[in-house]
Amino acid sequence: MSEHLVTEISRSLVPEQFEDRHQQKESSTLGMWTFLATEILFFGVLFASYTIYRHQWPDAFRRGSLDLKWYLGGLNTAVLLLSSFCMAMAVHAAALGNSGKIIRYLALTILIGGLFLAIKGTEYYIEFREHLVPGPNFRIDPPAEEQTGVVVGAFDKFEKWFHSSVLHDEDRYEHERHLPRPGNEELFMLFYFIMTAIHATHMIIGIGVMIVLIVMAKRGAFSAKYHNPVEMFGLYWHFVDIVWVFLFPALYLLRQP
Amino acid sequence: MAEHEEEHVVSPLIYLAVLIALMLLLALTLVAAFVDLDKIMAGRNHQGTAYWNMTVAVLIAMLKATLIILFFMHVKYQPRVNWAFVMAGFVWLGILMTLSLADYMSRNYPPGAPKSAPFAPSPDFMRPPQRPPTNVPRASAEPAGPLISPGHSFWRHTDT
Repeated sequence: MSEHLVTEISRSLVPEQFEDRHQQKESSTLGMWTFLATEILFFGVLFASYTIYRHQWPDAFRRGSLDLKWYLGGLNTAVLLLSSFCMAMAVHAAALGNSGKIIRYLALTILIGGLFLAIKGTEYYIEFREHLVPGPNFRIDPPAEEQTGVVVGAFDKFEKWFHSSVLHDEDRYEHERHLPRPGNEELFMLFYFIMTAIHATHMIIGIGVMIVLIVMAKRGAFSAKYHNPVEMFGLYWHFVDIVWVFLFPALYLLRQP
Repeated sequence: MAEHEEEHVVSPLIYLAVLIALMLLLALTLVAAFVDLDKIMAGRNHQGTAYWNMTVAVLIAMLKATLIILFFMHVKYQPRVNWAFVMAGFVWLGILMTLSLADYMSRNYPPGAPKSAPFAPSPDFMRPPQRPPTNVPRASAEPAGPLISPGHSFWRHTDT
């Protein structure tokens, strides 16, 4: 009983190093942004080296990009923007002190984030079947259609339809996709896999943190006065979204010669 | 410390408006990628990369990121010291990019200048050349040349 009382009091008080809860929140925000600045530079060096090698091997990078599924990447961008919106709504619910809503919006964010990872996994599978993974799996000659399996075949069918009915350039499409791959496409695929895998790792960590936040919300840890963890995690999740916003055009949309 | 205002609660309608704007910008990114902007802007750059497409894609991505940072991440409603911290990360990224690229992008410029050494691995960079036998003394075998020769490879072994 007395233990219960102590925790109740400590939750309503601001730790002694802070003047009040607003200053506590400002410190949290500043600290989170400092962490995000290191993250910006962490992803930044990858983008910088990507730019340098793309400048050196424009054709290999373009071909690598054509071998990716731009529509799956685009779908994933929309999915991730939607999950960011749900996260913003969870933070909004936290500011109002509505724990039930926090839990519901966080669960929705986890669900949409999981959908992103599922689409990403499908893409990885397709790239493996098409022999695009750098290393022993990579082949200069694109595999024939009957060697790639049913799933990849379905996506091929969609692409063929898109190029014949929407873009009207099926001849060029058929010609380009059967050309042997440039040797340095492996370099592009290396960038693709490392950058998307690091991004996906950030998302998996984020989903783990969200599960913890849901448990905390269930135990009544958050109120209108104190909900810093939800808000700080929101910053992290939006940052992961921003990284993808830059990754998507950089990896999927190098279509013009 | 100055007295603090009550916490700014952003209306969900603003979030919804930002989400719609982001989706529209995503559609714009896709449209811009499928149109050859270099042809429209007349004159490709000499590298043959899709110069304008890249510029437009990066600009749209920056616009999207700004919307997310200002509204989803609440930076718009925060004290100026937070703005400084937010900017710091991007400014340092800008310095990193600009100074790295200033070198690589200006090689072989002006066009008539003598070719400088390649800075990237050759197309077969994943397949290293056969390593020379190590039992042969190599001290005088190899003539002293430039440190980075045109045949330079990341796998060139220099035993000491």
